[in-house]
Amino acid sequence: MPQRSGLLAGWVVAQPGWELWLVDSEGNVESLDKALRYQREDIVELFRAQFGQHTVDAGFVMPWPFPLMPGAVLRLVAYHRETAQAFEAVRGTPEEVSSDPEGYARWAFTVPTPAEKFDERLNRWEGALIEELLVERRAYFDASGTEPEVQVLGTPPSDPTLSLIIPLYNRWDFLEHQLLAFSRDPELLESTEILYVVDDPRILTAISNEVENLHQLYNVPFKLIWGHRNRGFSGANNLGVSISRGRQVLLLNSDAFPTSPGWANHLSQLLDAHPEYGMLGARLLNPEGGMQHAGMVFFYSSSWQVWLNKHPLAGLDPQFDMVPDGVEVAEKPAVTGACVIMSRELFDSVGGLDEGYLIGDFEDSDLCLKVIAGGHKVGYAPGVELVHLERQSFSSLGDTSFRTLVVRFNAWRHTQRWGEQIKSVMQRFG
Amino acid sequence: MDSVTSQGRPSRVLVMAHGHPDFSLGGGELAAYNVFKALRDDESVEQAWFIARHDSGNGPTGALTLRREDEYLWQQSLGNSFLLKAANSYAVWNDFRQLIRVLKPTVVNLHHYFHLGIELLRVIKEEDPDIRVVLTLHEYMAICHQQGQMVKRGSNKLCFRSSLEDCHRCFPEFSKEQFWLRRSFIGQHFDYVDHFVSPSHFLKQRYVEWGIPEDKVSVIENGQSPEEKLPPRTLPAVLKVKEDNDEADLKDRVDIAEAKLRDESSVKGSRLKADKPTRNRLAFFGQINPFKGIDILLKAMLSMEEEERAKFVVEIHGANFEHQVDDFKSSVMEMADTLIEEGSLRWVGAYEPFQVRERMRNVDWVIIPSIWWENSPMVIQEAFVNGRPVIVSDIGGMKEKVTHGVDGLHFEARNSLSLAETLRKAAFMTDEEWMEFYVGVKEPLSYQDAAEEYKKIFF
Repeated sequence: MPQRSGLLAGWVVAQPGWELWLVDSEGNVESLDKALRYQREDIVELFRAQFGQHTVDAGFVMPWPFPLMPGAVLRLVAYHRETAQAFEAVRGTPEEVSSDPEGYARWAFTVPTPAEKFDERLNRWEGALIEELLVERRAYFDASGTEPEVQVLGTPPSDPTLSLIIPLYNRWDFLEHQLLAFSRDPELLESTEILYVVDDPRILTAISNEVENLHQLYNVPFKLIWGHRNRGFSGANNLGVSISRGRQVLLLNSDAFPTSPGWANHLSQLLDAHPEYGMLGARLLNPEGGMQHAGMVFFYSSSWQVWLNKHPLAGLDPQFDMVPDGVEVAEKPAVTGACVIMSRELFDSVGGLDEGYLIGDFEDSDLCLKVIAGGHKVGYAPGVELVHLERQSFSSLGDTSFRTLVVRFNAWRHTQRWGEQIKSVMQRFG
Repeated sequence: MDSVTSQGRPSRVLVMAHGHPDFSLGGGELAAYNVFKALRDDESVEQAWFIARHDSGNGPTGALTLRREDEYLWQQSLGNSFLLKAANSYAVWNDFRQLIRVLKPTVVNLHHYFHLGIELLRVIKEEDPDIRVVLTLHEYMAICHQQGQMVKRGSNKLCFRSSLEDCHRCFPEFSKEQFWLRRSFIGQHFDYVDHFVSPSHFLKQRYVEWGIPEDKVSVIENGQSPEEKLPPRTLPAVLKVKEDNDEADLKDRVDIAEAKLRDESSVKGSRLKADKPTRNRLAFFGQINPFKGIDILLKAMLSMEEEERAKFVVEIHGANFEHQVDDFKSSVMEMADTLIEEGSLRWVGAYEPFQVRERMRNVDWVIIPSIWWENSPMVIQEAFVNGRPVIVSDIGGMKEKVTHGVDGLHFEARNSLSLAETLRKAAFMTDEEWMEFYVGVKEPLSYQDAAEEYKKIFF
């Protein structure tokens, strides 16, 4: 990253007695002893005869903490202290890399590290670096102060109790199905303002040209908000909340569909009736009718050394979601952000959703943990049912695809922030 | 409702299979589903579930989805074909274990272990040692790494027993030590099984020789949906003379055949009687792959004189031919083309399960010329449901399920000349001779009766 820092990667084998140093054109020097090293079988194959066991851990990755100017040259210098010999082993000109957090991660995560060493890489420098880039990007956009565009379709209620915030990313055909459901819910239309936040420049034109038809066809008033960029799950929801006016806010995924009218008002009433609860999630079913969400739990993955979120009972018939008779709200360690209600006051006081995660993951449990830290309970309302079309995917623990490494960064960050609290929460839930 | 067993434990049965018959109609899948279906409809059983391993094309996510009430699909697949382990380990030690905790079955009946993952057996017992684990065997997968066929890799010779040396010869890439580990790994998992079920004595015997105690294996045939036997195919000449009184005619013919059976049970002619209509319509049913012996059948026909072939017709009702390797396809089609051209072979092609009965209506014999052992081929049971005698290879499950000279004929497995001789014998039989076989076909075990047998093992 120009004027900032860099990442060095490669391989090296050396006989004992040789020290390896990296030097840039400004005269900055770092020992290769600081690098994260890993086994490279291909290098072992090539140099076994000559170097024997000194071929161990030939691969290296290390941060270059000094700003690199355009045209800078980096040298790897070998130095033999005993004989005072030195020579330049290799030199190279760094490749310029984006300092946008996502752009950087897309590049940096292709620099190979074995899956089991990725945690070390995050811990040593890369986790903090990506966090820093995320903070900087947000600060930049906050400072630029471009007002979001708001298109109002119809006449939303002037004094809504509840604001429904629905980000749209990647696809927007779900919108029509939600509008149909809302159109059949007079109670909702009376008390709730609906805000769709376009979070994807790729769909902006298509959706902008279709919303009038959709509004007229279903006769559901709503606001369409465009925040000028892809902000991710947290950023899009935070933007929606900042523009909304309800006393309560309900965050809803665009692929979650109510199964009967009255669901939003029911959640709203439950939240009022149970003031000890800071937020409430709903029962989500998958399209086949099995459970998708009945609250979340945390479990520790020892191979990734992080806490991950888990949906118990996933796929099972709802009859297995046993809630004692008469219990409308059950306490849970966390609930999904696919459908969650809380008061605006609390949402604002905990600072909304954390925008420090990359692309999107763990923001919902992060929010739950903030709410718990503030002395509130997190609840699950089994009486409110929606269908959630979330698709599962499979990757092994040793996967080093970009998508998996993003999950690992986010899980790492989440665990850094909340590991201790999660431990005590999970102890409480046995 | 009497839902408590004699031991006072509730009867909550989880049936698991490597596939759902909605998507994959193999014998094992169907047998598993039939057990579930019978228990589900059984008032005395508190609860039955069916979980089928499935692949929606999204990888082995471990996701569980509702198929219909009490039926689930589980996105899982084979991860280690040598040790028969599942692909998604987390879905086994976490998801599956929690599933057992939530469902609280008292009996888990697994059909097959392939694709489900053999490690489930241990996980079930670890969660609750009181759960009765019953494993229904449908293949020789534990014994044989060669797709559980017990046929030598490469040469396709029959294999009679597994041993470290024999298995290593089939798979030089796996050492004898690895085969020892495999045997030991699978064996230790089988220790968690309370009882085994085998649909054939032959398969049972193979597993007993391999090391399962004899008294831990019961033989229960795969049950069938009960149906009336089909009437015999209407022969052209019979139709001309007696078309006004078909049913009475059938009864007469059954009586005559039964009387004959009582008097003399040996002579079943193979004389050529060209002038009278003969029972000369034969058909192959099932998957078409190299193990099913369709090439033996075609070779048998080609070994005959053309004028002999002109007196009978063989139909091929088979699926999955298009998925076979090119060499096999082209050699089969080369032989088939000659026969199709002269009219002795009719390539009817794939069929849906509901079509089996109608397709069997117009044939006299069903042929199963498999070159591997088979276990209890579904086609034999279907033929018997429909009242059709079966010509089979004289090995393994086929030999066991078809009695030579009673409800079918045996020929020497893999020997096309022996099959040719048997085809002659069958196709040139008079109606009278054939009727003895028709009468000899006994109604197969119904799936409800099979489930009653299972209940004795479960509770």
